[in-house]
Amino acid sequence: MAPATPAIDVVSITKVYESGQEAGVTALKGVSLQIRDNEFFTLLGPSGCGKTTLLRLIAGFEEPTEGHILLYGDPIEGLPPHRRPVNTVFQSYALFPHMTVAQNIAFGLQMKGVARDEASRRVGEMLDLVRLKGMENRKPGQLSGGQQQRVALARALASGPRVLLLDEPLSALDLKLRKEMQIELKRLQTETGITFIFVTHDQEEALTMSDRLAVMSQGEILQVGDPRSIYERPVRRFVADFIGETNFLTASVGSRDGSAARYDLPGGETLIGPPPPDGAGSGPVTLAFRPEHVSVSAATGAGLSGRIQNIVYFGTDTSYHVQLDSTGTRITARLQNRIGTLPALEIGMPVRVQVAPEAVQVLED
Amino acid sequence: MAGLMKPSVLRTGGMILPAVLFIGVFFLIPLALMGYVSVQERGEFGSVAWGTFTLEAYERFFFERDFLDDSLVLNADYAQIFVRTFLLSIGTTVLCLVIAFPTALYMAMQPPATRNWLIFLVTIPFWTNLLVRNYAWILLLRNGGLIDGWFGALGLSSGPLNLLYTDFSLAVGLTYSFLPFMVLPIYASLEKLDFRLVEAAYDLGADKWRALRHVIVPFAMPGIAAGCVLVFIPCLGSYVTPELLGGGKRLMIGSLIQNQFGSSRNWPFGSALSFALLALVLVTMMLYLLRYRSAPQVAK
Repeated sequence: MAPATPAIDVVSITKVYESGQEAGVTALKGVSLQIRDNEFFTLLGPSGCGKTTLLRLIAGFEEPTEGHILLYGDPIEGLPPHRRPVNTVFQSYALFPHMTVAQNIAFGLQMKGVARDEASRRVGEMLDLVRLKGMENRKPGQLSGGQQQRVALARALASGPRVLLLDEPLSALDLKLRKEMQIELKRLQTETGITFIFVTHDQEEALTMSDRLAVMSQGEILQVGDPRSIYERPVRRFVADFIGETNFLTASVGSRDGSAARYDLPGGETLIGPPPPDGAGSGPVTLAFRPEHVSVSAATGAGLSGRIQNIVYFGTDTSYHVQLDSTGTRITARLQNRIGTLPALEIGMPVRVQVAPEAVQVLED
Repeated sequence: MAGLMKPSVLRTGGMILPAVLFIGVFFLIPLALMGYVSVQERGEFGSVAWGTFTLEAYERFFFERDFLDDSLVLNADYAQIFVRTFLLSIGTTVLCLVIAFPTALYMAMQPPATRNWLIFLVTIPFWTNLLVRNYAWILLLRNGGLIDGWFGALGLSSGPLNLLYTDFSLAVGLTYSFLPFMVLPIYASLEKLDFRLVEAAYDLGADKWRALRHVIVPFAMPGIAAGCVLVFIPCLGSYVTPELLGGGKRLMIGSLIQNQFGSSRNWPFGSALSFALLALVLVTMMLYLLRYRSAPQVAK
């Protein structure tokens, strides 16, 4: 079977914002990306990384300086926002304050010239979908943040877009509501079968909701993949650092044999990991590993020697901050608090740190 | 304690006392006096015959006493002045709105620093006396004036244009005088407009015009209404502009009232005219309140 046409095909897009006589600000540097039909795709990155710019280019609020965007195979550059079968849920919701909930939801249908009774049927469906039955005659100002969020979703979904763009829609909600809406959004996406492109700077949100995500930094896409591969197999230091907690060690490549390699740390100690990626020279590499893959023991055996600096109790697990004797680097180990398994460790104690070889990632910077 | 937490009626009342006193002494008392004068007979040599009672002054709006047999004859002259004033004021208001709305929208879309400059520019005409500004229009509009001269020189007209002392020159002068009163309130409401609302309208399939009609105009409505009231009401009672640019030939209510207290020396009629003008203003204000008291707040 031939691969399906992607919902959105971003082809080497560059966006430069001109600002007076000064050299423009480059928001996107030759970004290419394919978003599949019917997937929940997340653009993740810190503020200023270009994720919102990319969303606005797809929506049509901005035009790319270079490159193309294809929507289900059709080029859409030059089409104004109102002619694109794409709708946006804005960060601030941007509900029309002078209209009722029902009028807000019906707006897109009204603009499309949908007949009145058909439109009101659709509005009813949308209110059901976002669970706001009975609120149709309220004004946005009379609704809570979470309810406004649902109206914004219903309004964007009402005119049946092929792709729904969500610009940090949950950032204004408190934590509990945000968790609720995360589940709600995922449910809506599954029920409607519409491609969702979700922009966020919250890595947890990105990991829990997305089918796939792209990590962005400084106008570039660093890595695209499903949440698990992004978390477990980051290819760039930035990705490993931005998503979750990560320990980094600088090392040089020692001997290697097929499926494993030995890495020499500055102090003479070694760490076993997977072989370095092809093309990596003999220069120093960065080794990354997650705190949950590190074990700490008081025994004097194998492993890197260090001293416990701090112990932080989290309820479900405990973090041990260990300073390595050789380099002074701080390593974090996170152990699950299962009954009877916690090692008897105290601050100041000399310990050995061990890392499972398969948990080590060798990164390009 | 309760008194501190929640100010008593006396305390809050005290805050508006100066305003109440000022309006009472300098507005309500003169108003009552004027009402009294309007039902007095006109005395000899243009004085007021105090202590008499007649509705003659009000009759004069529509009727004229025949010189010979003292019967009432219909006279539409004054009513016509009222109607013309009313129409001119509506025309001026509409013209102001048409010019001010795009101006205000443009201003609201500029970056904040530019906005302050533009507000400053809008208020510049206030620096110059109204009389001077109206005289300037006379110089522009009069036969042989700047506009007439240019049209003649370009061969666009043969003979004088006769722009001055017409309803046209009046409307131009009034629009010019009152334009800032329309621009500023509309700008004030548009300034609060989150332009993401406009983007949302585009996103949902509205083109520019429909975004304007369904989002921007409704949002600006309180400002538009306030601007209309601020232009229409002073326009009804305007005096300087009609006097100078209408040349006294195109009478408006203001000039008519001035005449009665001045050269015609008919205080009762002047007072009655003032009341009629007041009634017009009150009706306008009531329409405004009816529309905007029941309507829910638009702005956040």
